[in-house]
Amino acid sequence: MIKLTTNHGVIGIELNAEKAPKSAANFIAYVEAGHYNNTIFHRVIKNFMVQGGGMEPGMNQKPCQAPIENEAANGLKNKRGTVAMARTNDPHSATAQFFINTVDNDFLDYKASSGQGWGYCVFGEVVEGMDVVDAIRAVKTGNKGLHQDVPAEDVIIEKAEIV
Amino acid sequence: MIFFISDLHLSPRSPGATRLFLQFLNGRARQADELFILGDLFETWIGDDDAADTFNAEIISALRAASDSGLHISAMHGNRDFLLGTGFSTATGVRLLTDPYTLSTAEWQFVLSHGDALCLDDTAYIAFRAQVRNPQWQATLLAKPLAERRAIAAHMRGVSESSQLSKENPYTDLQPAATDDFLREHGYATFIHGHTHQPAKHDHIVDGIHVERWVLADWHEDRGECLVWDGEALSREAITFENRP
Repeated sequence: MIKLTTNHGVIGIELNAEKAPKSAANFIAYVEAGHYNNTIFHRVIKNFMVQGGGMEPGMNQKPCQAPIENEAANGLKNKRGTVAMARTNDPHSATAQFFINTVDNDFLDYKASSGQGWGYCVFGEVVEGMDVVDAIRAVKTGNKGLHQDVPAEDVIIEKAEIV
Repeated sequence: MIFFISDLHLSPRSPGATRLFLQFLNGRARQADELFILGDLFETWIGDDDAADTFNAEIISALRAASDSGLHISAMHGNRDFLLGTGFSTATGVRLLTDPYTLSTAEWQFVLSHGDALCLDDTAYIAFRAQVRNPQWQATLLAKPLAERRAIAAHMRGVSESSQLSKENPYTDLQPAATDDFLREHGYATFIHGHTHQPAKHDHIVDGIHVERWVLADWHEDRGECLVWDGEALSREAITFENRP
């Protein structure tokens, strides 16, 4: 299990290395490298998801490793409490940023291996501290620079570790 | 899928837009069958013999890699990069189109243009355009040494920028009557163009027929835009560095 210690409490995530081997290995590599320590949930949309793992407090983007293949066709659904990889428009561009679905987001699921159909790859699930996720989704947000839905007060991942 | 972009105005002075374009070309664009660049990919282009310039070389090799991957890329001249020629085309695999260009797909008919030729109310620009599109004038310019052409381009950009600053809206819009004539001449096909930096979808009624005109967005340091034809409809897609669900 991955333990994310945040300033709102602890979130426990179980990775699905069987269904999403590359995404799970990628996430573990970032955890082991200490990448997620002192990053923030920088995009929080209450009835959608909370996204983090790529920015430091102050909205500074951290350098990342090479993008990974999109494994969204693995059959896992973007249900409430699942963890998936964020990415750019390029389907195979996920690096470090991930998000936790706060509601069922069927429209993020894989539909086809083309264009918008790729969807977002679920590779894990919150098994502990969903109340912490619910506390985070409820924080006050606003605009910061060019970014929208940024928490007014930093929601910090103080530490990410394998337990 | 077919992608349409324009007005990237890439130059060493726009590292963000350049990075976005390279990311787009190596990633998202590869999902398409065809990519159409409707003018002003480059902020300046002083001749295909300037390909050794490190900035140009990077763009050229990215276009070549995308072409080699199977993506069909076509480009049109804009009011900035009107000197793009066969040397560029050979190096990149990008097909150069005459403006306007009729694009017929199995599902729909489009007419593509940069758009500047219809901005008839800007008489100074139309006169300038007639000059720089003249093959004789181009040949004379291309015969000059690169350094001299570079100086001429810098001067022309300076004149253009100062004239834009003096206007309330730097980009004159297309002349409505001329646009209706254009749509009529092109069989009421859906018209896609750039140039004006005023992205919008316009509805024209020409001879009682509804014709759509889509204006492409210009690119910025942190955001580009691509118009996507999926076989059924056109939609705009943002090109950003941001990670999203």
